[in-house]
Amino acid sequence: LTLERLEDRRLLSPGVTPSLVRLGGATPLPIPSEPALGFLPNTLGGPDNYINLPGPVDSTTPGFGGELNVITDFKGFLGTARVQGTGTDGSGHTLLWDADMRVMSGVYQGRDGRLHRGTFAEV
Amino acid sequence: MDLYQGQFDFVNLTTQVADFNPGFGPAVNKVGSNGFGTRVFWTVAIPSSDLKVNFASGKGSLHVRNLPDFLYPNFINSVSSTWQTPQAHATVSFNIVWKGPITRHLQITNGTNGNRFAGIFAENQATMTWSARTSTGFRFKSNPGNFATSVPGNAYAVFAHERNGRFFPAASATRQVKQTGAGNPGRPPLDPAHVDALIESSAVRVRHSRWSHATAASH
Repeated sequence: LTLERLEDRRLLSPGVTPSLVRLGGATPLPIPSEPALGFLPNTLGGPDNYINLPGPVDSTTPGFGGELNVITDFKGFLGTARVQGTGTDGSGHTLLWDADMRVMSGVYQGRDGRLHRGTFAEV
Repeated sequence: MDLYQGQFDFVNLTTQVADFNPGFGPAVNKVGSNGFGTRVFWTVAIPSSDLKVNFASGKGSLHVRNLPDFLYPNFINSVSSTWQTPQAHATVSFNIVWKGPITRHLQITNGTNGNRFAGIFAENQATMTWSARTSTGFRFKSNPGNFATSVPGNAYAVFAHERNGRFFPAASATRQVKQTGAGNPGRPPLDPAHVDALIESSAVRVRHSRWSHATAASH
């Protein structure tokens, strides 16, 4: 007789990233709500969330450049890359692609108020 | 990671045919205009071994394999009231290679665009390749994309040693008043020595730059 772990369906909610759910209290916090920056409130009907479009970090245009991190209460390395290119789908059709990628690695304060170390990618 | 047919339309998204993203984080508080709370934007936890960085040279790489993702028809579907009904489950893999030259050094001491932040920044260049497959049988494989293949004005890459939020040097009364949910109102600033000790003990494979704040200030 063997026992198998039951799959935790809470981790499989569509639209929610399982890897952050698994972190529990160590889940990082989003950059804060600043109404002047545009993403608040989410008038499209989804969750409130905050991200600046990729651009120069010294940009003063609200919502563009500046803070490129998506995690607040963070200290460490941040890398970003936004590029475009071409590719091919399974049927041989050429498509264009655009990617805005960010990676954060360091110390952060989680939802539980404690300090944690972690590496994250915004995809 | 988005797919477009024929030409890019970054404004109205009329030519976007796919939006791959890993989904939002769990709600970190109940504050939210649509009952879904406030969440971290499309971010996943990854092994630190996926990231390699040499800050001083502006070179590094991020290799992620078989990341669970969701497929939406376009960006709007993925952030609107339909965010919990993706078209399909997906798996993506990507490689990003950052390389020099470092085209600009900056030191930000009092950033306010999007958050309270500070740090040293090194703008560089990047090349990316990626692939995706979905539960519905769709597959995509990219050619390498870099600044040369990008729409002028729409490519950007940077490395940073950054601190923000409660780690921001001036984090004090002003921030505590401004934060209304997602942050940690009322808590005192963190002990810098404690934070530095945590970073030094980290397994993160980031080679710290010999490029000092003093050097950055001269650029």
